[in-house]
Amino acid sequence: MIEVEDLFKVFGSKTAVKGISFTVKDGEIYGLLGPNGSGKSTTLRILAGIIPPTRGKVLVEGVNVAENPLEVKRITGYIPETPLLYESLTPMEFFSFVGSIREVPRAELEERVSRLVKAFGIEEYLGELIGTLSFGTQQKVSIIAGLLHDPKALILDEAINGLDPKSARIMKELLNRFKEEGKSIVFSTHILAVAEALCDRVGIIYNGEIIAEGTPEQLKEFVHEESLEDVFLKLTESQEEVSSLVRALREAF
Amino acid sequence: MEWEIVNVLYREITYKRLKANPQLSMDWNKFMKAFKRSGSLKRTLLSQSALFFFLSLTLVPGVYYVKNPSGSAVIYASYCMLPLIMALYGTAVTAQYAVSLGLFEPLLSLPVRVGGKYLSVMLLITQLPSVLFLLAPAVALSLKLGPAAGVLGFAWALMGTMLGHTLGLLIYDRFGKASGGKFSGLKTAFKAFGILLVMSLFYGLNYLQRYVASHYETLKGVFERYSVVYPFSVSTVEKPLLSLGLLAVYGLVIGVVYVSTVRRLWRRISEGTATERRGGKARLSLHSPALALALKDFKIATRNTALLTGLLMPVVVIIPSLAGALKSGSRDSALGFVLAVGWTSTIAIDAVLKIDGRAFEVLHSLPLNLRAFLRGKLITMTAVPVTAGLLAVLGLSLRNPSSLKVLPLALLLPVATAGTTLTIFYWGIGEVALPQTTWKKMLLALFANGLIIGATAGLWYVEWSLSLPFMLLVDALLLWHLNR
Repeated sequence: MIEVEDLFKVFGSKTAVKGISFTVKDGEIYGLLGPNGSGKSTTLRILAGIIPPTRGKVLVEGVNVAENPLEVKRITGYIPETPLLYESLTPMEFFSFVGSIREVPRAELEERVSRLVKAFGIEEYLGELIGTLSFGTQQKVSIIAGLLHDPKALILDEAINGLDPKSARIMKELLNRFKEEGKSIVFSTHILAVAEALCDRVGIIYNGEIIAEGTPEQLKEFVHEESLEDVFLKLTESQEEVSSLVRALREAF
Repeated sequence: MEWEIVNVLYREITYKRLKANPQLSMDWNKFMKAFKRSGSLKRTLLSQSALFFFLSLTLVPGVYYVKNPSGSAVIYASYCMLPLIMALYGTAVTAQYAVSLGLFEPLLSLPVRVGGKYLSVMLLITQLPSVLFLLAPAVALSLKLGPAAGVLGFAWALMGTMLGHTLGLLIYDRFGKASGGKFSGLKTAFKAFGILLVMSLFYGLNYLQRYVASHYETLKGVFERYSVVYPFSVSTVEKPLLSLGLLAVYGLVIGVVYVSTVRRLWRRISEGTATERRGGKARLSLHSPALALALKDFKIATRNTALLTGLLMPVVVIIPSLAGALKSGSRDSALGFVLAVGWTSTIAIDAVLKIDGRAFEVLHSLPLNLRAFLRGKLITMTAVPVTAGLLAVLGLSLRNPSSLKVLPLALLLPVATAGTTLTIFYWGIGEVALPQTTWKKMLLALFANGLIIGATAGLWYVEWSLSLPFMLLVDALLLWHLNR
């Protein structure tokens, strides 16, 4: 379970996250939706123990992020939007490095790497330098590295965006399987159809605050809209802005 | 327009090079300051030209004060190795770096007549200042052998740069694959050798100057026999017509090879690089976190020339003391060498902290504690000096077996100095992070290590066996501190 309570994050004079609270239960997929610069990535990085919160409480599987970020890193898998990789290592060297730091037993690591590499279809790239791989393949390497230690909680920051349809499907299957195993999953995405199809609950974050939360159906009902995309645009007050931009574009061409 | 494109490419490669330095990229003001300083091609060319011209003055006595006039031409010819090696190495390495950064991709979609010439001109223009290294000696040559010899001598230096540049492009075109490939170990060894060669060029020139002066009679015959081959051909400046003819032939051959190589290279850049596949050979290997970190550092460093240069720097710095130890063969000179190795471990901190580059964030996302991180960095920092020290002492012991008494110090001293440096740089830091490498900290580390080295040397001269327990004590204290 992931519990976030009155979370604040301040960078210099800018408050990126303004007192947000939400809970992700065991076996639940929670989607964090919001426009660029709304505080999604900052929130997820705090949840993964990468940056400390300025104020508030974050518990991941009962471990306080502010007090024990190392333990939080041990039990979570964090997959960022831009793959965090050493470009001059090969994928296999990178998996060896991550597995060594995470102290994953050899047999488990070999079994997991072999399974995930096969699932994402990157066997032929294992001996090539990561820097020479396409963005999509790098994203797959990043996803596999985030899952090597069988994390108890999964944090994905726009991680599905760069994947091809086949890999996106595999990723969705994996998330559903993790959910069945009782893991807590938080992810942010711009692809609202993915959020609608996968998430048990959704939180819409805007200017560092959660302005709405519920199941996709509840949110659609709440604002009387047909799709999650319309819900998102209406709640983030972007609908009128987007409409006028579309009009301007039509006039321009 | 063409100058504009070269200027933009140079700014872009500088930007990316600085961005890869985490100590700069994490501090925007510091980064912008560094970028303003080195991002201007004109400014860089001016400052490098001034530097090389200043250095060229040191070569004048070698050419001017030779008794026999022909000796001046032979000595000048030996200096002409420098522009060749610098252009060859600079081209081969920077071409690979520039292409791997995707520097030319924005140009591919633009309606400009793009060619490999932009890559070539950008590399060549940044290497031209090194030719000025031969300017003052060429003036000295003209004073000694007449103006024609001076002008031809400088023309040969330019030809040396062009030859090195063309060979560099050829080497990159033939061997510059992005991935390791079948002979990656061999390539790394060549790269390391090339780095050591370029970095020790100034020692080499110094030695060469003295060697040519004292063995002039023998060398003159060699230079005459092989006068068609560069740099022996430079000594033909005494016979202007022959020299001019040779220059024309060289210009023609290099011109043809250059044009065909640039064309082929551009095809490769625009069509994309086919990388070698190593497929099934990739295997998982697990280690302790500290060792895994160090092994990762070495893998990255051996694939990045700038980082490898930083790691090998201690070896280059100690070349003169190694030469001294080899010459005298005494046990004390072996100690002097080991003390020098210990001292140079301090400067490796800069290279070691740059290895992770922009990917330092990877470490933040992993459950890596500061102790394991520092242990890993200690291994990375000490590996080169310890290996160099042990090999040199073992080598020296073949001449003088009593040198073996220095062997434990070759292992323990770099650990002490590197450990002290890490302790100073990470003082007050409680988590995996990059410390600021300020001059204040560097001076403090050099001072502290100076005390350790001084105490070790003092104890050695009182009673050699006393230095060993002292070193063990220092290492134990530092390891205890880094493990706390």
